[in-house]
Amino acid sequence: MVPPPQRFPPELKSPLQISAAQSYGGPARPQESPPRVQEKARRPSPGHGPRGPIKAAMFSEVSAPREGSSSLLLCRPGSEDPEPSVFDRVQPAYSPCAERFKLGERSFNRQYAHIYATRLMQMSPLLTERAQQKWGADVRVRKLCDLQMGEQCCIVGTLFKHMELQPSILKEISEEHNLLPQPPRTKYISESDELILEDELQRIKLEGNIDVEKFVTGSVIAIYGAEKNDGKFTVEDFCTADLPPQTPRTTLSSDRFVLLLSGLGLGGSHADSMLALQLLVDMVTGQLGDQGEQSGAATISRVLLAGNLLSQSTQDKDASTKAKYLTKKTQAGTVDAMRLLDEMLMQLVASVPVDVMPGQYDPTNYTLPQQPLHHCMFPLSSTYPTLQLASNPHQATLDGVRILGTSGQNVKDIQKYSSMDSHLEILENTLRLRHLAPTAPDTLGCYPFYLKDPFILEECPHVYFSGNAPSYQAKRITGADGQEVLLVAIPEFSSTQTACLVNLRTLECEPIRFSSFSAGDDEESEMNISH
Amino acid sequence: MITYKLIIRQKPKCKDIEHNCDQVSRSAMTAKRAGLITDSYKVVKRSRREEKREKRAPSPPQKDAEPRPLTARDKELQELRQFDLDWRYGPCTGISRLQRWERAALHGLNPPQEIRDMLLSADTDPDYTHCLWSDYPL
Repeated sequence: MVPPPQRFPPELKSPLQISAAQSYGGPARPQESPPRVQEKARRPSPGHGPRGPIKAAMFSEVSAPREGSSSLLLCRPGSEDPEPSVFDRVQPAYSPCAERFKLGERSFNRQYAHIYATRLMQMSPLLTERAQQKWGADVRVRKLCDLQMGEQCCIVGTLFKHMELQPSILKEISEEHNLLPQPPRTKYISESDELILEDELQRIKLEGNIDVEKFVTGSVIAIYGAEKNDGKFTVEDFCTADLPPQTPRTTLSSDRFVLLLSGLGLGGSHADSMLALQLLVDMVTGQLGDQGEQSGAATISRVLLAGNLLSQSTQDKDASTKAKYLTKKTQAGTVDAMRLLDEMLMQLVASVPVDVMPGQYDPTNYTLPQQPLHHCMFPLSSTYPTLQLASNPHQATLDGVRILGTSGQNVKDIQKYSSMDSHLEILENTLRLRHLAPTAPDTLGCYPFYLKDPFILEECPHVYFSGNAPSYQAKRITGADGQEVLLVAIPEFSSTQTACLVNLRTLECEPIRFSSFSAGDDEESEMNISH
Repeated sequence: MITYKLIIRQKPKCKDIEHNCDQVSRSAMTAKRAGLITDSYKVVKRSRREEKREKRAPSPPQKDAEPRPLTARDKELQELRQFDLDWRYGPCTGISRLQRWERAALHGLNPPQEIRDMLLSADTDPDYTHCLWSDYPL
C-alpha cells in the first residue's frame, strides 16, 4: 500500500484524491462514487454542444468546473463527507509489443547492405501488388537489368538521393580538397539533387514527373515510365506502399484518455518548465481542482513520455575531450538530472501507469532502435509495477487501440534532408511509405539488422505519434482500405509547456497547456485548459 | 687496343645451363679473338633448345594422367559457393550461410532444401558454415 503524498498542511487534508495504487495489488476496494457530491454538483448534461447532442469527448468537457464548485473548493472539509472520496482510475487492457525493437545479442561485424536487402525483399511484393492495383493488372514489372528502351513498364526499388551538400567523410579527409569540416546546416538539400533508383543488381537515374525534394534516401517505391535514349528513366507516375492493413478497434463504452508528453528537458539550465511539470503531475494524480476535475483526471488511463527526458545541456561533450585527471572528480550532468526524473516519476507512477521512452539526449544507446533506459537509474520509481521502460520506437495496444511512435529523431532527420518542414506532414509521409525511418541507416544511426527490417510497418496503428516537435499538431487521416489513423506531433514540453490528451474512444486529440507566470507578476500561476 | 668484354653470368637453373653460360662467356671471348660470331650463336641456340626440351620433358606425364575427380566434399563446397553468389538471396558477407538461408526462407524466396541439409550435417566445419568471403575483413 502506498501512502498518497501529502501536499497540504495536515489540518487541511485534501479529502479528494485519486489513488490507483490501491487498485494495484492492494485489498480490493469497492467502487466509491461519492453519493453526496453527485447530488450537489449537477453534472453538465451530456452536452448540447454546437454540433447537437454529443457525448463528452473532450477532456475539458469531462472535467469542466461544475456549478457551485467554487464554494465546494474553498469550503471546510470533513463535515459533509465523512470519508474521503477516491476515484478509481480506469484500467485499460495494456499489452506492449516490446520484442520487435529489443536487441538481443549485438554484433556490429556486419555491413549495412543487409538492411537494404531485407527492406527490398519485404517491400517489393507489396509494391508490385500496389502497382498492379494502380496501373492495371497487366502492367509489366521489370527488373532494371531487363529494361528495354522505350518500353512502358514499372520498376520497383530503393531510392537514393544524391545530394551535393550531404556531409561526406571522404571529402573531409581527402587531402587534395583541403576542406575544413562543413558546419552543420538545417537543410542539406539543393537544386542539383538527383534521384536514383536501385534494385538488387543495378541503379538508374530518375527524371521527369517526380518531386526530388520531397523524397529521401531509403524509401522503397514503384515507378511507372520508360527508359529513354540517354540511359535515364523518365517517370510518369509513382506509387508508395501506402497504409498497411489495420485491425478494427473495439468500441469503448466510456471516455479513456492517454496523456502524451515529450521533451521534458530536465537538468537544463533553464528551469522555466519545472513549475508547469509539477502542475501536470498534480493534475494527473488528481491533486488539483475540484471533484469534477479530479474525476476527469481519473479518466487518464496512461501517461506516455516520448523522449528527451533530459536536456541537451546534460550531454557534456567537454568531459570526453578533457584529460582524465581533470574530470575525475566532476560528476556527469546526467546524474542529477536522472535523480530529478526519478523523483518526478515516482509521483506519477504511484497513481498512473507510465511508459518511458528514451530520446536523443537520454542515457541509452545512440542508434535506433534505442533500448529502454535501465531500471537501475530509477531506484525510487522502479519498485512500482506501473513504470514501464520502453524502447524508442514504441508500440503498444491499449484496449484494442494500437499506439506506435518515436521520440522524433526519424522525423527530424527527414526534415534535414528534404524540403518538408512540418513534422505532421513528415509523419504522414512515413506512414504512406510504410516505413518508420527510411533514412536509417544512411543518415540516421541504426543497428545493422540482417534478418528483418523492424521499421517496416506491418500493421497500421490507430495512433501514430512522434515526439519533440516544435509545436502541437494533430490530424486524422483515412486510408484507402478504410484505415483510420490519428497522427500526433507531440510538442516539446520544455519550450511549449503543452501536452496532448488522446481520447481512445473517439480518436481525438487535444492539447493541454500549463502556463505559469514569472515571479515578477502578482498573479498566481494558474492552469488553463485551452484547445 | 682496349677491348670491352660483356660477360653475362646467369643464375644457373641446372648444371647444364651453368655449363652453357660459362661456355657463352668463354666463346664470346674466343669469338672476339677468332672473329666468328656464329660460335656464340650456336651455343645460345643449343641452350635454348635444351631448355625447351627440359621443360617439355616433364609435361607428357601430366597430359597422360586424368584430372583428379572432385570429391563429394568438393562438390558440396562448390554448391555452397554458388548459393553464396546467388543474387536473389541478398548479400552473403558477415552472416553465416545458415542465417542467410533462414532469411531467404523467411521472405518466401524458396531456397533449395539441400543446402540447408548440407549445412546442418556439417555445422562444425567452418568451410561449410562461413561464407566465401569470411577470411576477408569487414
